[in-house]
Order: sequence, then structure tokens, then C-alpha cells
Amino acid sequence: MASVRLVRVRKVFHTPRGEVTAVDDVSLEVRDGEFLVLLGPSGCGKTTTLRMIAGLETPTRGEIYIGDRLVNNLHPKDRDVAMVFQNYALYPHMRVRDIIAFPLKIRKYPREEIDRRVREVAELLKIEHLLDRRPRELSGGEQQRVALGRAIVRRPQVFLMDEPLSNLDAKLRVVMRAELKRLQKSLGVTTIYVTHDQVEAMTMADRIAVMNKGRVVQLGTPRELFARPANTFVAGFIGSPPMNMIECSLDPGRGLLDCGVLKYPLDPNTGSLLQSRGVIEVILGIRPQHVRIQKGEVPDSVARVPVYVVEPMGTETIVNFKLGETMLKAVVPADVEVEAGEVWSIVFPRERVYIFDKKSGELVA
Amino acid sequence: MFLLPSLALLVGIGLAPFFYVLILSFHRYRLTWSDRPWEFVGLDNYRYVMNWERFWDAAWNTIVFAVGTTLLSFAVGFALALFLSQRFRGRGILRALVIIPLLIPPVSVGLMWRFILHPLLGLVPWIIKSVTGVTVSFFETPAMAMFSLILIDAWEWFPFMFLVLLAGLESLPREPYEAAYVDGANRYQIFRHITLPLMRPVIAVAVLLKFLISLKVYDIIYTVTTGGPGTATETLSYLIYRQTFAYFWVDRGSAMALVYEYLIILFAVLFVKYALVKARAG
Repeated sequence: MASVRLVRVRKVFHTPRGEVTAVDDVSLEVRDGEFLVLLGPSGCGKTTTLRMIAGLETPTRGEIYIGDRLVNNLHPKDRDVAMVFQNYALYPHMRVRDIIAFPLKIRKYPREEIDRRVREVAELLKIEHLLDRRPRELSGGEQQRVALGRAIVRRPQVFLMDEPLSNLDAKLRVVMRAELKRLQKSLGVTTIYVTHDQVEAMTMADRIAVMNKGRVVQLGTPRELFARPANTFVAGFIGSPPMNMIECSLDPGRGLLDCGVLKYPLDPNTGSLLQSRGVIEVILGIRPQHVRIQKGEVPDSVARVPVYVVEPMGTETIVNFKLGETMLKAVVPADVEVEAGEVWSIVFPRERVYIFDKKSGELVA
Repeated sequence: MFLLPSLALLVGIGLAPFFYVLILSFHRYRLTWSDRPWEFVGLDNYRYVMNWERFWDAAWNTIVFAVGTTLLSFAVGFALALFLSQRFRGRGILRALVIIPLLIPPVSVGLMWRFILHPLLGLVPWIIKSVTGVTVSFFETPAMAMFSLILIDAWEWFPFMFLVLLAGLESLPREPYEAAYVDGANRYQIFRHITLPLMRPVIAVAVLLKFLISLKVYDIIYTVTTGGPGTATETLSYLIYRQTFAYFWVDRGSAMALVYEYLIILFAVLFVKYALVKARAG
């Protein structure tokens, strides 16, 4: 086992259309045995970061350490990492048995040792009955297990996983998510996992590094990211449905945020904080789960508006309100009866409201 | 209905000559006997050909030549394809240079090499002599003449192998390579366990094509050795040509041509059956 450390890593690709900075000054420490997820939209540099750790790409600048070893100039085979690819990258001409055995075979392990380990891994992943098949005879989920088996069999220092579940159907993904997490914990191998799916990240990770435009914008545990997003990007990316974001401007005279239809009274401290920083244009954020709605008049309501559309989800109901141009979503228990067109009062509990600087997107209060 | 014109064309240029040759092969007929009618002789021509040592010698020569040039052009073509499938500066120019031999007409290739290897005027014998002091004669002994022919033909054809194999290499999926790198394979292991097995169908097709083309070799033999010394490098095409159009024994030539054709078909069928099917299943 080993930790993985990235120090100011940068990767620039030279394309016919000019230089593209895929990864920009990323510093990151993955602890020994940790399950770290690199989360971000496509093109944010998460896969490139992973490929640099694997040795499939060379950093333009910066250092990558696995354990205490600087691995920048080390060939992939000498890094002792195993990778699971998005499309599995199984060897099409080999049988499952040989695919799993491949990393051991090329390291010239004795025959009996290879057989024993392949059997163990097959048992662990429940693919004993597939050992004599070829990749094209396997379903997506089975191929995924074989790819996992090939990574596990060698007992590497670090697992690198590039969206391993994204090619599976939704149901299987949920099953594999849990299995993968359990497997990682039981093997205790440091794992770096790339995904664009925030649910995957939240459910599996010890810590998440959210990436955007080649940079790590926030690093923390799933709870931390959910409870205290550092900026509008993280706030909008994590949580489902995404956080409501409403553009407002500070009205210092009346001590409130003026958001068109909606007026949010600030507590005096927050008001003076915004003023002292010279922040006038802000984005008010609140998660749909935290928006409270009431049918009658309520003294501390921020607005009274008609319901635009109601989306029943079974266990809960998503109620949509139209506030000028923006849509406000509120998640309420399924037993609350709401009809489109009814006028409801909206309440923002003070401790659940995030205020971001509109210009920088950073969290202010 | 609309197929009729093309069908007529096909019959005219494809099937009619075939049947003409087939009928000829059962008759006694020489071009020099234009006033005598065809005389039906049954299998006489075939009997003659099957018992004719020179025919079987030519068949053997053809196979030696075809195997030699196929292996040599494959080895050179594959090595170059592997080399030029890597990324480096100047790759495009090198690729273009490699193709050149394929663009030269075979007759020119033959004549060119005949001069380059000429015992008195040639560049290569001169270089060998000035470096090692040994006089090498490239066309004197039967073995050397065959070797030289294989060398020349392989030189002309390695770009074909190169092109086919390069196209194959470029179309291989990238992922298994990355997986193998991370799995810890070195260059040789990747070649042995990934490239070679994935390339097997392409290699099989390229080798089959080249082998069948080589069995029909004529132009290089004609321009370089004219089948000599003696009949040591006489191949079937060349023998048939000589019998038919130099000695005007059209009947015997026809019989030989047909036997030759069946031999080639037999090779092709066997090869497709074993090599290609196995490669695909592999």
C-alpha cells in the first residue's frame, strides 16, 4: 500500500488548434488506503490526472509521488499501479483466465502461483464460471468484473479507476457501486476513482476532489462538500436535485437581499460582512431539501408564489416555483398535498442559506 | 435484364477464354499448323505434362520462389510497418519513401537490378569485392540465381506488405495497449502477447495475397534470368509462356496452364481453410 502525492502538476496538450491546458497546477495527497474520487464534468482534467498517475501521460510540470518514490520518469510497469478502464480494455483474443493471469504471467510468476491467484480472484468476484470465455462472450457487467480481476490479481500499491461503472445499466451500477466499495475496504488498497457522477462519488468516496477546468476546486469528505461547498460550482455539482441558485443584489439600506419576487432578510452580521467586502451582486443558494413551504401566510416567508409544476417521486415530491426567470425547487415529503396553481409561502431557514459572490463564485457566508 | 450487358462482358472476357483453353487442352494443335484441323487427343496433353520432368521442376521452382519472396517481403514489410507506426518526426517522409519500389514497373525493377547485380558492371558485386575481396556472382549458380530473384522480387513487394500491415497496425484498438502497459508488459511482451495475436487475421490475408501473386511471377524472371542458368529459375508461368508462344505448342501450354491453375486454387482453398479460419477464431 502507498500514498499518492501530486505536487503542482500541470499538463498541456499541443493540438493543431493550439495549446490546451488539461490539468492546471493540481496538488493533491491521497492517503494510504484511502478511496479518493476525482469528480468533475467531462473535460475537467480528471481522466488526464489519473492517466498521469498511471504513467500513460507525462506531466508537463510538477511531481508525482507514489509512496516516497518520484515516479515522473518511471515506466507504467515500474509504478506498481493497476488500472480499470472505462471500456474495460480487455484483451480481445484471450480467455478470461489468461486476461486475469496476464500481469502475473509477464512477471514470470510460477505456474501454480498464477493458477491459485486467478482462482482466488475469480472466487472473490464470482466469475469462476466465466474463466474459459472470451471478452466478446461476456455481458458488460461480466467484462467489468474481469477488468477488476486483472487489477486485483497483482495486489498493486494503487488502484486507478476511470469511470468503471459508466458503461453499465443503472440497476447494475447501483449493485457494483456497493460491491466495489466493499472490495476496496477489504483489500485496503489506495484507490483513485474518476467519475462525473456525483452520486457515485458521494456514496463511495472517503474524500472527493472536485475538479473544474483543470483545477481542484474543493477537496473534502462527501459530508463536508455537501454541507459547505466552497463555491457555486461545487454547490451546483453535488446534490440532487442541484442546489437552487438565485441572483440577488444587496440592499444595505433595508438589510436584505433583493432577488426580484423574492426578498431575503439578512442578519446584521452577514449584511455588514458583505458590505465590508464590497460584495453587492450575490448568488443565494439553498438546497431543494432545505426549502420549506407552507400553505398559509407565514411571518418569515421570503415570498408567496403560485406552484408552477409538481413532480411526485414516490418517497418525496419536488415542487417547482417560477421566480421570474429562475426556477426554484423544493423537496417535500410525499404526503404533503400540493397542486399546481396554488399559492404557497416559501421559507428559507437561515442556517441553510449559502451566499456566494457572483463575480468570483466563492462562498462568502 | 439490366445485368445482361455486364454479364455478356464477363462471359466474353472471363469464361470464353477459359473454355477455349479447356477445349484446346484436349486437342493436338500448334500455332505453326494453321492449315491443319484440330485433332482430338483426349488426355494426351495432360499425360505428357504430368510425366514431364521440366514441368515439375518449374513447379518446384515456383514454390521455392513464392515461399522465399513471401517470407522475405513479409519480414521486411512488417519490421518497417512496426517501426513506422510509431510517432516521430519525419515519419511521413519515410513512409512515402518506403512505397517507391511498388511504383516502379516490374520490368524496370528487373532491368535495374540486373545491372546493379551484374558481375562485371554491377554496383553490389563491386562493393562486395572491394570490401571483402570476394567475387560474388549473383546469377551464375542455380541457387544464387534463385536467391537473387527472391531478393529482387521481395524488394519490389515489401512496400505492399508494409502498406497492408501498417493499415492493420493503425486500426488496432489503443486500449489493450494501455492496459498492457499498466499491467507491466515491456515492449517485447506487448508485441508478443498483444500486437501479434491481434494482427493475425491481417497477416494471414497479406501473406496469402502475396503468396498467390508470387506463384504467378513472370516479369522478373523474363527480364533478369530468362529462366537460367539452364532451367534453374524457370517458373510455371515462364515455362508455359515459352511453350505456348516461343515454341507454339498451344495444346500442351493450355494443359499446363490448367494444371497450374488448379494447383493455385488448391493452395488458396487450403490456405483460406486453415490459416484464415484459424486466425479469425484465434
